[in-house]
Amino acid sequence: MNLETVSKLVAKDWHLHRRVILLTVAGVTLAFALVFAPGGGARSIGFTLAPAMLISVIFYLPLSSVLGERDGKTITFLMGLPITPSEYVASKIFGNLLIFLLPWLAVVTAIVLLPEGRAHAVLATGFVPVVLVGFVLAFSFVLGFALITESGGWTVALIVGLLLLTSNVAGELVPDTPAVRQAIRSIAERGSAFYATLAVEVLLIALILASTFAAQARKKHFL
Amino acid sequence: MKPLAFRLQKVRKVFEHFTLQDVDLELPRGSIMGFVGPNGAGKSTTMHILLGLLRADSGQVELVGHDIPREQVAAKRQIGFVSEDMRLYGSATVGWHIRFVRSLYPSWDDAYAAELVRRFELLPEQKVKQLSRGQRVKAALLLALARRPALLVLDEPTTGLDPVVRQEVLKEMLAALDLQGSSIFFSSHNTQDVEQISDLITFIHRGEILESDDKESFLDRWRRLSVELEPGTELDLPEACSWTERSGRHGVLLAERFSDGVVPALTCQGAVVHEVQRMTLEEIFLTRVSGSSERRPS
Repeated sequence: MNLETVSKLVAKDWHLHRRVILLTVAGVTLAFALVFAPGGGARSIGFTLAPAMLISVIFYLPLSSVLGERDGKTITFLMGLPITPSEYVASKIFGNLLIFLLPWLAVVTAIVLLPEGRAHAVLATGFVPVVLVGFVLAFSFVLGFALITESGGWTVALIVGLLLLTSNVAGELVPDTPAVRQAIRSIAERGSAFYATLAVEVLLIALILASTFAAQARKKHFL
Repeated sequence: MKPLAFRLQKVRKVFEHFTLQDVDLELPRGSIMGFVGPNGAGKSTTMHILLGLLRADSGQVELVGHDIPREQVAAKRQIGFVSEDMRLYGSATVGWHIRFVRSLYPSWDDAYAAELVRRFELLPEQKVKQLSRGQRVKAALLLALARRPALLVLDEPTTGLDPVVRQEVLKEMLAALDLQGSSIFFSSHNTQDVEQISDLITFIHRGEILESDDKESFLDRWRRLSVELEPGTELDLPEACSWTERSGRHGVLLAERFSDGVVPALTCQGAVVHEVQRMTLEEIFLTRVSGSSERRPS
């Protein structure tokens, strides 16, 4: 695999999605400006806007950058160039992950820099890092799924399923037992369950991306 | 023996409703091959296999001296590919495409690219989505030509173009051949284009190569004969001749391998040959395709 070629393909995707990158970073910045703004209404909008921006990237990027190449027939142009399937897949994984990590890092930076106060107290719980890494996990899952299935319909179905799973449904599925309550408390207080959950998330991200690359890079052709 | 731009040997690809059947094809360097077939004949599939975009189920592919798909990157450094169903990035400019493709080709010729931009009347700052169909084909052709390819693979490049732009595209293809000694493998269902620029012609139909020969041989071999004979007379037709029309005293014969002996062979049986006409490539192609369809069980 030629890393120089991969970096050129990554740069291509960054160029083609530069407006989305700028918009999402601007959106996250606005969200945290609202969190700091006086008044509960603005703060509430800010708290909703930041994850909404990340979710929109999870929706948009795999559909546009991965499936859009096929639907837009630009893949025929791309694959006529001196590029291997593994270089193409590597560029899609790294390029898209880096694009996603930009607004994600903006969220993380804003949380770290939050001054002491009510918002800080909420964001300082162990749930926030778990949820933030969970966003990266969800993005990796959707990206890998889009790369492997090459299907817009199935990818949208997966995203809807993930949204359901991580909203109300999750609360219904988790049994209300003392052990679960203890684990949730441990995550909130950054105890051992917190670190274990983070480790599992990071491991899953690595596993998903590596297996996506391994599965797709073995392909000998593109169409 | 001339070195080859490509060689396909016994290449087979099976899809659910279509099979590319043991394709044997080769193109000497510096030649132009017109690849003619109706829609769905297997032209694009053959080209995609040639470039390593699709993998054949069996057979061997050699492209500019490289084994495909194993050495596809090295091969594609010497290839310019333009396809009718290929799209450039609509939101990016012509200039961005030039810079992107240039970064992947050490052989990129800046001066030639600038010359093509001028000749094709393209604006580097113009977005691809703002270009007309003809301009998009020209932009794709520019990106393929300025890398100075040893082989141009063009899959229906003139489809949907108006006659003026079509002539410009064909002219530029020929200019590229003159300038850099490239080979061209050019598919089309427009036999006029193929007849105009090709040295070699290959007919493909239903995934099968019907015939492959140089253009002059094709045009020299085939003749249409207007024949008059007494009603009820049955002729013992010379080899590779067949009736295409017959009513009453008049009939039209097609000779696939016309020679000086065909007319005497008919006249000595009492037939009067009124006219012997050369056939166009389109007529030859239609005859070959219909003949192939009749032989095949439905």
